[in-house]
Amino acid sequence: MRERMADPILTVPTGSGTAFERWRERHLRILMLAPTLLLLAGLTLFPTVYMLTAAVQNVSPDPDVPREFVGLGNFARMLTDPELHVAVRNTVVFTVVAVTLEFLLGLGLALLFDKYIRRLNFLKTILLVPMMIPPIAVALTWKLIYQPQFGVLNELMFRLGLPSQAWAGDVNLAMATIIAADVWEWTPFIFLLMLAGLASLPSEPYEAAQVDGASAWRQFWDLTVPFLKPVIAIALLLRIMDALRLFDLVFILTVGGPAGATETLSLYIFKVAFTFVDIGYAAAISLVVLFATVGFSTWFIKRMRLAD
Amino acid sequence: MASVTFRDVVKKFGSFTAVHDFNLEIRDKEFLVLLGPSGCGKTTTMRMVAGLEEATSGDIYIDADRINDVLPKYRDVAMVFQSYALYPHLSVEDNIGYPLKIRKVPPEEYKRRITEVARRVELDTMLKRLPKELSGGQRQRVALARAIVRTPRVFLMDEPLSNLDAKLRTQMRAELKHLQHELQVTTIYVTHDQIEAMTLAHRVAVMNRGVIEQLGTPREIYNDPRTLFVAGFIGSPAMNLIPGEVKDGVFASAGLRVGGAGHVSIPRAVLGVRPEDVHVANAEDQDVNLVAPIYSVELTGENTLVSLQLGGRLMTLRADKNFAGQIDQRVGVKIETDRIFLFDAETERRVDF
Repeated sequence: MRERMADPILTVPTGSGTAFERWRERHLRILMLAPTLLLLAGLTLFPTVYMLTAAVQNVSPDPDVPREFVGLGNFARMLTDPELHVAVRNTVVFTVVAVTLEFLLGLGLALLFDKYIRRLNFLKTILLVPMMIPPIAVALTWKLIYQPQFGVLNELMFRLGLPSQAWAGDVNLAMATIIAADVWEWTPFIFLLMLAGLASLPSEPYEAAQVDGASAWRQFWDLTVPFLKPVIAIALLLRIMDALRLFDLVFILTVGGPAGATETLSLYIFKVAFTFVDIGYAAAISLVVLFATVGFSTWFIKRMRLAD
Repeated sequence: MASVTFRDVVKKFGSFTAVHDFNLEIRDKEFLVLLGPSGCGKTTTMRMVAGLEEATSGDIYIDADRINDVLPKYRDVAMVFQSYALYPHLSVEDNIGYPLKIRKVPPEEYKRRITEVARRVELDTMLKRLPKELSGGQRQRVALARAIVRTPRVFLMDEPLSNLDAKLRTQMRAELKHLQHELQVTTIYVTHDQIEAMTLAHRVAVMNRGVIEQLGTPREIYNDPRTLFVAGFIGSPAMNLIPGEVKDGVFASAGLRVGGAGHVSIPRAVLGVRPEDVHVANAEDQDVNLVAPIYSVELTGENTLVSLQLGGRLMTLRADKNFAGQIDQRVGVKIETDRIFLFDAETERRVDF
């Protein structure tokens, strides 16, 4: 037998480590996380507790007036507040229409790119630009496009010989202008997710389906849709949660007008809290919206069986 | 039922030619195996029949129908993929039934066929399971069931047994052979495993670099290899191929002389002899062809494989299971001279004598 020689370069340290070393190895994770945890606690815990307490109180704008406990009074007010009901309806309409359009356009574009224009990467990048622009800049851009006197859209209408419109200032068109801007901004997000989903699909089942006699249409419904279901669910969930909180576009384009035609929940809460300075009522609405969103997401995730 | 004909078929991928001027007629009800190493074009050839690849030029016929431009769904072929290609989100039942669903088969007939096929491949107790809940062998049987649930004109099988363990492979091989006999459907079977080819095929087409090296029954391919490639590819352990020179019917190489090849002369020759046609003899015997040291001794159970050192290469022979030799021991070797093959090393073709 030949004797095993110790490797002269790769030596293993001996001993069991000092007590400090062992303590450090065990607790390093906690030490590194501590600053973030403290910051998060300060930034979310405090406002949450503040909201929970304010929701059951009457909070005066005057800091010298003591808060008054009103129980479920703020919540009862919500039942008979017509402006709130309009805001809820607007938010639901916006969410359903905008997310549906974004989904159909995003999926369609992704299918097109996946099948026919795989190599044109620069086109893909251009399509993703709207999503990368800060939302405020998007809103301001669309405000200029919609501007009735010198906006691009009315100029276009004029050249086509069509009557100019007030757009965001028109009761009947205002919601559509918000939806159009949101679709422009967020379709790329769906597009990106779908494209990634499509790229990860296995090719063999499609070949099997072709031989089994399935048309392209059948392959789409029988294979692509079920395969993409988890990605579709995530994309819809993120978009719906985001749409329910819509604020920036409305705030810049219409400030909820005209005549409350585009007032969304977030904007209404903002108005109640900072224009009417009714903090207690605003907190109560926020709380309900929070629970509604969490409830919806939980149901949706269960429904789509995303857990497995 | 159907025959499949390839006429001057060429398949190119960019500048790479995967299949060259391919001509082959597969008869009705025949079990034809395309055999060759990976990259020889055998799978591409089969995929052209399925319609998953398009021939660059040439014609492919099923019976009298030219199918080059026929969509896969109208070709009426069924295929078993190497990776099985099951529909991962569908149950066993729905996987098997998918071709029927596409063809809008009425519910009673649908049920009847699935039950019948599932029983045949012994999956009748797991119809509700998903593919991920099955073992490799069970998945393979689902893929098979999906192919036989309808009666296509042609079966295409792309290495269907390669992902199974050795024992299951042997068992499924027998089942496939029986099934094909029973269903009487023309079958094209792709494999790189020469034992599968030998056991399953009516005829084997041995492919190499996109061309057919030899077409024949398994027996013809084994007993009468026409090229060096076929000689080396068929048989396990492989045929011994020893380079040397043939002068007036006598092959000579370092330490080895074998006569009996008529009066041929080949300046650069290769001698081919199968391990079972080489025998161990006493090193002192006068008529041994070779005396060489033993390199290794491997007992397989039914025989002992003995490798000898011959120049810089090994020569393998199949000895009796009770053969007891030691490594480095020098033994004599006798070669059955009427069972040798001679190849021209330049053309790589057999030289008859």
